[in-house]
Amino acid sequence: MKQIFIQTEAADLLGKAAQYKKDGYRMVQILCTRVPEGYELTYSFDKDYVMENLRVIVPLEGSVMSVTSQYWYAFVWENEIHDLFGLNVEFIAPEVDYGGKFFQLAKPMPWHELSKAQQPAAAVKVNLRPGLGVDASVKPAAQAANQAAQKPAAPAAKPAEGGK
Amino acid sequence: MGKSTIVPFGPQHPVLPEPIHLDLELKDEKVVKAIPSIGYIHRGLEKLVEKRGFQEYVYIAERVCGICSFGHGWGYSKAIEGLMEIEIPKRAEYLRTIWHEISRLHSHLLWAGLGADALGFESLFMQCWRVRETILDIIEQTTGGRVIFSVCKVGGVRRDISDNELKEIVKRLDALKKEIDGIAAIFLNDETIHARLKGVGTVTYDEAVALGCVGPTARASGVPQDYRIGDEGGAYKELGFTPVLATEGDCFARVKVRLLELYQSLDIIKGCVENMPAGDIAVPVKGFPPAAEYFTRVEQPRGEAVYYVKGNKTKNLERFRLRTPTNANIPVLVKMLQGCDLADVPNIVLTIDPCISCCER
Repeated sequence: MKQIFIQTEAADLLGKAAQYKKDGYRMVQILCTRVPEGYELTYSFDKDYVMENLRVIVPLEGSVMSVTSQYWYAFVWENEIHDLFGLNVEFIAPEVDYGGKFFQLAKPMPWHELSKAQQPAAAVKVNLRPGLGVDASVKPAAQAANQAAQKPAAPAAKPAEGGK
Repeated sequence: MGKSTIVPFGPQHPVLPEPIHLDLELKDEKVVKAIPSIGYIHRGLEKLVEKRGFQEYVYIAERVCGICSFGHGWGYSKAIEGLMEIEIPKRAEYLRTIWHEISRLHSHLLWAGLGADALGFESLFMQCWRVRETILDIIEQTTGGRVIFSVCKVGGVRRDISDNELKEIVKRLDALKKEIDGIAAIFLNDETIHARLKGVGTVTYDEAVALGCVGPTARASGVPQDYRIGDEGGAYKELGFTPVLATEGDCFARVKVRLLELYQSLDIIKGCVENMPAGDIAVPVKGFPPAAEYFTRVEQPRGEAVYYVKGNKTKNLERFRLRTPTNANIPVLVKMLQGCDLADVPNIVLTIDPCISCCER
């Protein structure tokens, strides 16, 4: 299957969605992935079994305009993304804004955190003396090297005093 | 017109095998507005991809749903094969097609039984599920499981079906065709069924396109949308495929499309058996998925499902996403319910064949 990804800005999203609709494309899905920069959104459009994907990056504290003015049925995916990831979607039509109540979840925004693989390496706790309760933190090599480089250089040795 | 009343429909309801909730705003007996809410069986299965190896995850993908389980395993495997540029043997493609169409028979017969039960037609419900039993026996004979197949893997399939076994399956399916004739005749000719389903929950061609619905729901409104036409995987391209269509767009048309698709699935299976290529059933898979992404699709019994995978050069994927057919059919359901009688709500809900496990993952 041919893979087409088109990078775009959040501000241009509605205009591009309107163009897809005008050209007879069907909206297939919206995908959200948490990335270190915020949210990576992928809007997929299909015509004659060829899919084109619009890619938008939204910062963590940012928001994105709803595309329901062009594709009304996108409210299912937009509400899902809001409820699972916590991304703020600006709905125009109030009847499709569920206000976080579309998915009945035990924990709000369960997928808001970055996956473990994407998180920066943290100190790993190692039990040096099992049974004695002596723990130590081992820093990852890169982090330790960085800290060593930032350490101020040791002062020059003082000349020896006393003695004639 | 009296004042409006809100009547909750679900999450527990006699016609719903799975939980979905609808707030129905009524004026007298007419539904003015339907507000859906889901999430009662959200399991976070997409997220589990971060904790399971990419080969191991096929088993989890299959457990997204118990009815279209094979299709999910296939869709996920196909996405990984696309991501890792793996070409699978022709025989594996044909075997996958056979199992997928057997799944469709299983799903449509199960749905027909539930539909009959919702109409109050108990004996028809039992007949549909009795016929479905033959399909489950074939699944058990060829895969070892009755619901979860576990035969699909990244790189091909785990089990082969011998030529003798294939011939025997065709014989059993020929006998099954006569049984399906009996069921279809009742659904298509019974006056009570006509009275309950004709002209109810109608979706026109333009509405179906505007609401982005998929599968038999779209095809019953005349939209010729079936991913088996464009599918590069499976045997569909080589065997040739034309979707079953109806134009009325009502509940009865959706029933008709599913019944006719039963015959189509039988023909596809026969075509696969007649043209079954010889050779291997899988190729070895080496290494981990690259830091790249891939979209693929599969036409499930309920409609088009979209699979997305994103690798990061480790054994775990960074992201897996599944857009299921029921997920795409919720908006059209909301529109269908506007203006219908309260008594017709169960029938309308059932004719989109909702699968809530799939929808929520």
